[in-house]
Amino acid sequence: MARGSARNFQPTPPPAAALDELAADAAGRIESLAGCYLVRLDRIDPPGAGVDVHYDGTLRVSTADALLAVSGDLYVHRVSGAAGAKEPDPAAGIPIFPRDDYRFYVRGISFVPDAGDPPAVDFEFELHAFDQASGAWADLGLRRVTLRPVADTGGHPLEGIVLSSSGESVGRLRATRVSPALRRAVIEIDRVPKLERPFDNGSGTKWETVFEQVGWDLTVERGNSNIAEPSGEFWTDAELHQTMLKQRRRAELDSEWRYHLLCVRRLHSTQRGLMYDNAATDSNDVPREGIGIGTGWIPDEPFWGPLVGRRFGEATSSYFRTALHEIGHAMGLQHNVADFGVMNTTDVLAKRATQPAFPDNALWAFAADDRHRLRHLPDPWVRPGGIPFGQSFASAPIADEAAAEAPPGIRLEVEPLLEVVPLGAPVRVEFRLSNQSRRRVEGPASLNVRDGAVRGHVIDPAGVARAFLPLLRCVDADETRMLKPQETLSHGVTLLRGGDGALFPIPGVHRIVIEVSWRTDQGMATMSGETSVIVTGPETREHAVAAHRMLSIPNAMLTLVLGGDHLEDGVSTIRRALDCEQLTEHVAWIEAKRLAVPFFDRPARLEKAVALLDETTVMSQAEISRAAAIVEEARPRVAAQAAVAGLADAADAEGSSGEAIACDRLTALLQTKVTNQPVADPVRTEVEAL
Amino acid sequence: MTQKPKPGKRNPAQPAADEDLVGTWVREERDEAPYPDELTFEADGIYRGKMAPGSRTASKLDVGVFDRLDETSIRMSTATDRDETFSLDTSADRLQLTDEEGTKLSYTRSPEAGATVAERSSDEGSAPDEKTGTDPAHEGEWMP
Repeated sequence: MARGSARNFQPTPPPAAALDELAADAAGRIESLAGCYLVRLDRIDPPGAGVDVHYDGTLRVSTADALLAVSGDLYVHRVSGAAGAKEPDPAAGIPIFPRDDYRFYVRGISFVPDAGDPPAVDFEFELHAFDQASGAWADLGLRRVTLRPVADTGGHPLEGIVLSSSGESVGRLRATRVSPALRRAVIEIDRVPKLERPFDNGSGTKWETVFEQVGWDLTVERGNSNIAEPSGEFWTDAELHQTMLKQRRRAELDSEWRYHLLCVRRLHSTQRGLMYDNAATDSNDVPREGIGIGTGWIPDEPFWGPLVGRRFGEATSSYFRTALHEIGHAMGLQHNVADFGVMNTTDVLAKRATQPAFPDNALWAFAADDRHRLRHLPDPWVRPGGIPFGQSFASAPIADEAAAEAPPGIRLEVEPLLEVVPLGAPVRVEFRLSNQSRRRVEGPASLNVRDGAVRGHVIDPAGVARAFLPLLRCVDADETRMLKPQETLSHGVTLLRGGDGALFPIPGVHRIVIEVSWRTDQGMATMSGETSVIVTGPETREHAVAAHRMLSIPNAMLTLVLGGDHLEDGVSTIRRALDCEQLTEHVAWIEAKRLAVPFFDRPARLEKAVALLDETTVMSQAEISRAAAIVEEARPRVAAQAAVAGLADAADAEGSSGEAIACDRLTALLQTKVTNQPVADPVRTEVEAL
Repeated sequence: MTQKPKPGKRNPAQPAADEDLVGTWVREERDEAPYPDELTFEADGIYRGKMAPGSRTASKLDVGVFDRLDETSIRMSTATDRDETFSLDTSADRLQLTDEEGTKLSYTRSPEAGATVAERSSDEGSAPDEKTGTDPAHEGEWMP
């Protein structure tokens, strides 16, 4: 695991190539720890309220695909409640807990066993609280525990005290490895009489084969073979749903993850198969319990190749693939065109086949990112009866893919431009990625947020995390280049708002986590760095009003990024902040940049823009670089205007002269900036060249 | 007995032109509907829909096939593989789809694929999430 000088959140080491570099016994230790653990988290001190409540759950340690990743889920257990004092039995294998008891997701950050036999494990994780009502998770922050082997802890051979990020003891965690698999589930296959059931692809690949790759212990049950057709050949979604509710063998989703598959002749809603159990069809409000597949469709268009003219149920390979695909939807997966794996659509496989031809181009595996999701998405996302289908993956926490270790010697440093900012002000954060090794290493081509390598989140004083992503993203993302020894990439980001709302909505200390990702030969390398700022409360009524607008008007952020005159509420919000004594220096550049750039028929207003700026104006180095570019673009225009004005009237000459003066003033201001605040060499060079 | 309608199919005798659809379209509205902010129709009958970065909602139209049934209707496979038929109204640079519930979706033709969705990024975030633990139903529980 790479550790930067800043806080490094690269999770779950040591994956891929790093495993090969370890001594064989170390690699063996990690492999031996893989699997599902039954965990119990108890309150330790002080006793009193809540003493009859603890949390049970699972912890999943996966090393498949040469990657190490760790995640877990915690469910409340009231000793005095319905479950009583009865604890899950480790001998019973992977435990299943009631859905309503779900409370926390454990997002593994690092998992480092020592050389002991059996080893103790330093485990660091983020704890995410789940709100059943909204379906949202809140990041409660970091926790650490050293799990040590102990002789007798009531059947849990590993135990440790969980510490908060401030070092406070928050619980005792006990863990028992209960299975080499990560999750378990049952698929019940019912059918209309005589129809084919999709048990395999005809070439030896079965359900168990595909799900072994994702660490699921899957049991396939031959269910009812005598399902009656309610109204003929074609089945509506409602008929599929009602039949599932009536005919499935078991419906105790709080003690078993059971997915229902129904084979019928034809589907009213589609040709091959669908996951019908969501939205209006889900009459019992228990989503993702069942799927339907049809055997009777006969393809007739040439791109279906050898399937043309055959009943779909006879096309064993494609029919089985459709069943896998729909069950993938029931497990919360969406379409995935990354490869020709299970969650790509059959149409895409047929229409985009090259060599091998369709249907032999089907891959009998989920794509790498879907494999990771099936192993490590929170339980409510994947289990039947969990959260409804239709949320984006960005809305749930997940243990990082840890697909590749960041190359040795790479360091990420993150720091705020100002440590103290008033409520409502944008927060500027600078970050540097440096190659401190003596050899060239692959890194991202750019740290420009628009290039897609940088993202992050802000955790407010209440522990609520809000993500920010590139607002503008270039098409050529994921580009990499070789970083020379000692080379440093620098950039900055101005933060105000993300997809979850205002990023700094309340006074207090906010943690800012920056993640930089880039693709390497071994997969995605990710490094994270963290810093913090303190947001001060409103000082005056005027400040409170201006801050409220900055925090509540989404277009303020769009105006910050895009500029232009078209977002009237965004522009007026920035202007209001400009008139506020506490915010003016923080937003002056935002308004100046907007004015300095032409917008349709409006010419650049450089004089007005520069009049807003002085030495107190807060500007990140990215903004200094942008200002230098504006001066550079303006110089030829100003020179041309001056030349024309010299031959025309005096008023124009005066205006041109004013713009020339503005260029000079802005240049002088930028030169002062690069003298007084740390900037990267390329930015200094840009300014000095003006 | 009422005859159940069967999935529609384009009449080969009346082929509908897809040329006016092929390309990338950017949604004009900004709302919570689970429809893509960017929709690309390919010449081979595959479409792809993208939500703006950071969206909490997945697109109901993520990737699948489309079939132009006639000049005013199009069938598209959805994120759960259900086929749905949309009313269609196209002009040179505008596309309007109306789903089976009557939701109208207006798109403008994008000159450049890939860029515009990001520019319209969904910064209209939801209200800050409340931490759990304060609900009376959670009484007695503690925050580890």
